[in-house]
Amino acid sequence: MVDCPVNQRQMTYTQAGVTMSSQPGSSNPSNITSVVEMFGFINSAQSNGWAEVRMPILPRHCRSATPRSGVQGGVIVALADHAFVNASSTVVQPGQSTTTTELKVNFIATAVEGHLIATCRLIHYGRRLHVGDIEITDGNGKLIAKGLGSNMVIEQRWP
Amino acid sequence: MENQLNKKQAIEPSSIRDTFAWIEEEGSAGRARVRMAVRQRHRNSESSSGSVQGGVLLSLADRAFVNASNTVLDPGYTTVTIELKANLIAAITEGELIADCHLIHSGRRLHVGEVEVKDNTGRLIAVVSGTNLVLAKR
Repeated sequence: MVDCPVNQRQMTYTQAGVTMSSQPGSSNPSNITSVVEMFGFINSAQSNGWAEVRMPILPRHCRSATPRSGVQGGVIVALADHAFVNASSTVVQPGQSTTTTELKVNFIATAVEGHLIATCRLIHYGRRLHVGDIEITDGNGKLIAKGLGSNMVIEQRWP
Repeated sequence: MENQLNKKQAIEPSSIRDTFAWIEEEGSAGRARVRMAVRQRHRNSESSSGSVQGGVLLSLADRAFVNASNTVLDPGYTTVTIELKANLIAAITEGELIADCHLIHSGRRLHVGEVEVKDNTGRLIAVVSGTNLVLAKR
């Protein structure tokens, strides 16, 4: 893992947390402008080839309305994908972006409350493809899921 | 029905089902279909090129997979997804997403399923395969 000082991570997270509280889950869904806002992703830290994203666990992420039903698998993949794209964005050239072409996730444990933290490390970043290794843990550091994916580098068509 | 779900969501979605306003259709044994309308909140950005995020497609596919598993389960059993793999083939910015799942194996312990996610014109958006573990309900 590329080193990122712990205090720096926490500071970024607190700052992001302020933004988060201004977009509560009760907002009108038609005003939600992106998937990041809908899920409540917080870009808590990133450095060269590495990114961390956090997400508070809310009822809207869970498999059913039953208490402690756990976060749905697809939501965990969405979080993993977001961390992967963020990690890729730290190494692309200006005018380039990436798009995920393939992603595989193994689900290891259920997450019922607190936060989920996705950490992505690029294990390869070439001219055309990035390969990312993603770990999703809960707030206590317990491994919830493990992912591996490919991002394709694309030239941006818009300014 | 979607309006009702949207109203509920305006309060606070109680589960992932409300978050996405999925329309779930009954299928024959080992098959299931789930549809959803693409909304701004499913997209990566507000720009016209902002496409639906990969995880949203996976959520939809996972739901179709679990529903397909449920069609072949004995009473007293449930399943939990232990692994999902997606190839994301095309970007989608608007319209409807349709996930069709069929189980290619449904054993006593494991189910293996394949999901095709298409848009309403039949264009292939993603291919997802996964593994479900069969559990006795507690």
